[in-house]
Amino acid sequence: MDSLEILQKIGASIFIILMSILLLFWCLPEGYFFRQILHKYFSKYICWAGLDNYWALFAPQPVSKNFLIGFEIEFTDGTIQPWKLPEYTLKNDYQWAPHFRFIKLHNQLLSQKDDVPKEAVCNFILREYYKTNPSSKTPLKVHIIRFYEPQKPQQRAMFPWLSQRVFTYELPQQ
Amino acid sequence: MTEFITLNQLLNSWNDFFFSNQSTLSISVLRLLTGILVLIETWVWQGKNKILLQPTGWFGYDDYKKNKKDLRFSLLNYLSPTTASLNLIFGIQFIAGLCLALGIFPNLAAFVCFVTLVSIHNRNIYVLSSGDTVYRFFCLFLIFSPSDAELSILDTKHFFRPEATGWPWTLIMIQLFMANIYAKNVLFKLKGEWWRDGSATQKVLKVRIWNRRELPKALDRTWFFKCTTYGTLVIEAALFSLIWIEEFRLFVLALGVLLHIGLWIFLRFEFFQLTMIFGLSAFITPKEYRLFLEWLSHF
Repeated sequence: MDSLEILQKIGASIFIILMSILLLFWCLPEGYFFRQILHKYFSKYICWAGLDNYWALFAPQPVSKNFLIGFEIEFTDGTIQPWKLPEYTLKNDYQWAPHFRFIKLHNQLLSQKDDVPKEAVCNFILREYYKTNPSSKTPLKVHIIRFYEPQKPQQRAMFPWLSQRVFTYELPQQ
Repeated sequence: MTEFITLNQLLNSWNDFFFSNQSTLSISVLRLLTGILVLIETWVWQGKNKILLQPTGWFGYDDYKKNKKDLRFSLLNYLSPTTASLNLIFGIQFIAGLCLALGIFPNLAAFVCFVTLVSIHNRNIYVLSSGDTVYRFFCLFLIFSPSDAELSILDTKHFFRPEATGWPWTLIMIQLFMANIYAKNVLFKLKGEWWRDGSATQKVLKVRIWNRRELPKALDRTWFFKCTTYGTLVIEAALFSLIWIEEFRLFVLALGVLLHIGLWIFLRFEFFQLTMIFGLSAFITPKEYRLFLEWLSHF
């Protein structure tokens, strides 16, 4: 066995061990010791290199509710204008999106998690507003609205959807 | 008297398992399928999805720069924030995907695919699915696949080369990667009350945005939901455990393919199902591939 082959085997073995550690311990429920070590000391490098991996599809609890998403622009004069993103439409009275990537974003926008995608979409809406209304009212805020089905069937018969604002993006004061 | 393993025996076992030369047909098939996945997704990104990456799109460059640019590698970080830069990356990815599928400098092609995939995926992490992670890791492992491979358009006279052998460690890593996915899915599912009580699929199949169509009335039954919930758990558990036992392997593989086809029929994340079906090809032996191709040649 020549020295190059030995070196290749050592290199490959190190890669196998490191990759096995990453795959075994990165995606675990919170509280596992090795998961905490990986996330605390190495997440910066793992995420930078695109090696983060998550395998909890519809788990622990799968999606269970239907939601509709809406957007509103609030202006400095107090008026409100609803805004529609054409990719989010209705099909048989329920939310529809052209591709699963928009579905993923739909979940992100209506969740309690990261505000970054919500702010980004609000900024996109504002850019689209300025494109189509170049010298119009001044926007102050953008709201993301979640429409949800009432719990009780009797309520649903009267009001198929109720709504609440789940996120408000305030424009920086100029 | 109890015998203990020596370090030498351990190293020899490691060496035999990961580095004893084997046919490269299985890894070559996976390489071809991964190239196809890269081509499909590159093409799909050119449609409505492109707005999710464009500098003035749904995750605009200013938001990306403020929140993610310094935290994640992307070739787009070093190019001007324009749609032309995005198209350049997609162009490179398309060519690399084609080379990967056709077996043209496949190790380099896999490296380029990995870099462009990381660049695209890191640009907007909020719209990614598990399928993106799966084939990104396939590209990573394929960088190190044996260079003496089969199914290369550069050598059509010897498209199948039984004498082509190499170290199987990259194929084994892909197999372990696939098994890990199913193991983690079962682990997380068992922590959920709805998976344990058999009602999880009832919840998912009522969420219309995730479903291709409304569930037929004949299937809107408790028995169907319990079968699909527990069936998913059993099949996924088999896919990380029984799949390693020769007597069960092909049967478990068939169940796995059926599971993913079933998910494809009902739910709207088809690309993940395709990547997983392609990934299961890593568990088919070269001998079985040759038998299949001989059977195909009769037609």
